[in-house]
Formats: sequence, structure tokens, C-alpha cells
Amino acid sequence: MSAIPVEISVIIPVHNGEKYLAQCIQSVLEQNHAALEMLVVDNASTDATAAIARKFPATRYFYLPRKGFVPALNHGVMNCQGSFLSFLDADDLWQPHKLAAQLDVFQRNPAVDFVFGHVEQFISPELEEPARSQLFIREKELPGHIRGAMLIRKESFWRVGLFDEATEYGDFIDWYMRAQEQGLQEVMLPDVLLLRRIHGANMGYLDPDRRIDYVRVLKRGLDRRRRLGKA
Amino acid sequence: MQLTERYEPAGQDVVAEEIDGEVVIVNLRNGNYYSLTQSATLIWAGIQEHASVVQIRERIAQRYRGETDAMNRDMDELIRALEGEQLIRRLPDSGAITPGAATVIEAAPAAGPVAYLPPIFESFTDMGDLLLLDPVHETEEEKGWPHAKGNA
Repeated sequence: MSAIPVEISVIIPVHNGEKYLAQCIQSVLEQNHAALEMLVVDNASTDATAAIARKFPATRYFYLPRKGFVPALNHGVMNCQGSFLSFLDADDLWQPHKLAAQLDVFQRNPAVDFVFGHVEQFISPELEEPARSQLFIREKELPGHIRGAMLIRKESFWRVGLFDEATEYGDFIDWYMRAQEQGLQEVMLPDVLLLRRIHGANMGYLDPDRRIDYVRVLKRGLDRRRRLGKA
Repeated sequence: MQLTERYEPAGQDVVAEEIDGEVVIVNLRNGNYYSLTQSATLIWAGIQEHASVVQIRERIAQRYRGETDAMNRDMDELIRALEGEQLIRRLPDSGAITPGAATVIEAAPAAGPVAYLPPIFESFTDMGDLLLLDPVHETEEEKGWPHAKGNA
């Protein structure tokens, strides 16, 4: 048990992430934050994910039989101890100053609930053809309204609640709409804080069904807004 | 508007579903999302089925009791608006009604026509950043996407 209370929890859900997980964890360690915990929530990986996570003594490792991505996220949330929550996909990377830049905002403004930064998308450099030319990036850099670019106060997170396990791909859109309904105060930093890897190794996320999930999530959001009289 | 014109949703970036009498559409190309209600849902259904303008007008006339000119005008306006948002595109072989091209001729609703409900079309831009972060897989279809410059 650490004598220093954990300030920041970093939740990293992963399924068969051996290819990029070490780089991901390294980018968190490079934040050089003394009071940080990393929770690697392994969603029934069958590759070397567990071995890689365990190579880093700073990680808290959890194994879940395959229940899906959102349950893994929520499992991390339920088990974290920090006064701030953050998330990182196992194939993405943080810029070294990500946490420092975001904490600075919180320190200077106690009314802020969550802080984001810009995200830069990149095609994973080791990819070869034909995978490489099947991927393109429509927007290289844009405001990162995405889980991996967020740092949020624990109390603020709980005003919104857990990610919805009835969603699969639209879970952050759903959560963010609910955050807006709660009136959470946001700051969006102009710097790139998250590097989001686009790769073909796991094409699961390119399932066409994901797009319908967005429609359903948005429909629920519209209905809630109308009920709340905010349409 | 030519009666024989037909349209279709504008490619894989346009995703739509009708839920509880409302069609919600996401345009992953620009991050906007839209709501279609009232008679707009019937028009959208016709577009999805590649029905011609005249065929969709017939369906409207069967479903609703209203002034024909007004209903036709509203429909034309909606189609222009959907084109303007790049949600639909005109099918290139318009100009002839090909047999069997539009599938279902909807039977008149059992309850008879109801009072006309003009199409409602709303657009929302507040989720753009989130929707634009959907990872893109370039497909043959996207490579061949015809830019509708001529229709602007």
C-alpha cells in the first residue's frame, strides 16, 4: 500500500494487445507522475498481453473472461483509487506532458470537471501493404473528444456514471452526451496530448455494425434531451 | 424535379435507422447527425428503396390527406435539403422507370389516410468531433465517390 494517496488512475482495457501494449504503458510511465496507478484490465487475451503487463511492476493487472470492452472499462473504474480518472486504449500513446498539462488546468480552476486535449491519428508505422493502403485518416489532428484524451475528477465522473454496457462502439458518445446533460464544465486544450494508432491488426472495430450503434446512441440522447426539455 | 428521378443514401458514410417513428441519420463524413420525423420518414424509406419521385409521391398521397401541391413541394424541398447535406445522391440512371427497380408498393394503410404531417428535418452539429473520430476503412465505394459538384 503506497503511503502517497493515488492521485491519478489510468485505466487500460485490452484484448490481445501484445503488439502495442508495452509502448502504451511506457507512454504512461513517461508522464513521470509520482502518485499514479495503472490498471490493465485484460479482457480474456490469449496472446502475451498478461506477460507484458506483468513486466511493468507499476501496473495493477486484472483478468476478465471475455465479456466485452465496456465491461472491462467499467471494471477498471470500479477498482480504481485515484482522485482523477483517465483512460488509454492499449494501442494508443500519450504525449509526455499530457497529465501535467491537464492537472495544471484543474489546479488553476476548481470549477472544471474534465479536461481534454487534441488527438493526432497516425497509421502504425510497421504496417505493410495491402493493410496499409486500406486505411486512411480523414482528419489527422482534431479536438480529442475521446476517452484517451480525457482527465476527469472522480466526483465528476460519478455524476455521469459508468459507461453503458448496452452499447459497444458508441459508448463514449453516449457517456459524453450524458456528461453534457449533467452540465459538466469542460476545458479543451489546444495541444496534441493523445496519439491514436490506426492499424489493421485488429479490424474488429471496423465492423459495419458499429455505425448503427452510433445512430442508436444518438437517438437515445435526443430522446433524453426532449424529455428534459433541452431539445 | 423530374418525376422519374431516383435517389439513394450517399454511401457508407451515411448510416440511418428508423426507431420509434424517427429516422436518425449519421453522416460520418462531416460529423453531423440528423432527425427525420412525420412524413419525412416515409420519404426517406422511399429513397432507401430507390423509389422514383413519382412513386414516393404516390405513397405520400396514400398515407396522408392533404393538398397535393403542398405535399409535393415539401417533398421536393426535403430532397434538396438531403442532397445539400450530402445524405443522398441522385442515381445516375434516372430518366426511365425500370421495371422492378422500386420494390414494394406499399398497400394503403388499413386505417385510411391521416391528416398530412409535413416533413421535419433537423440537423445537429454538436457531436462532430466524436463522430469524426470513427476509424475509416477506405473501400472501393469511397474511392469511387462522385463529388456532386454539378448539383451544387
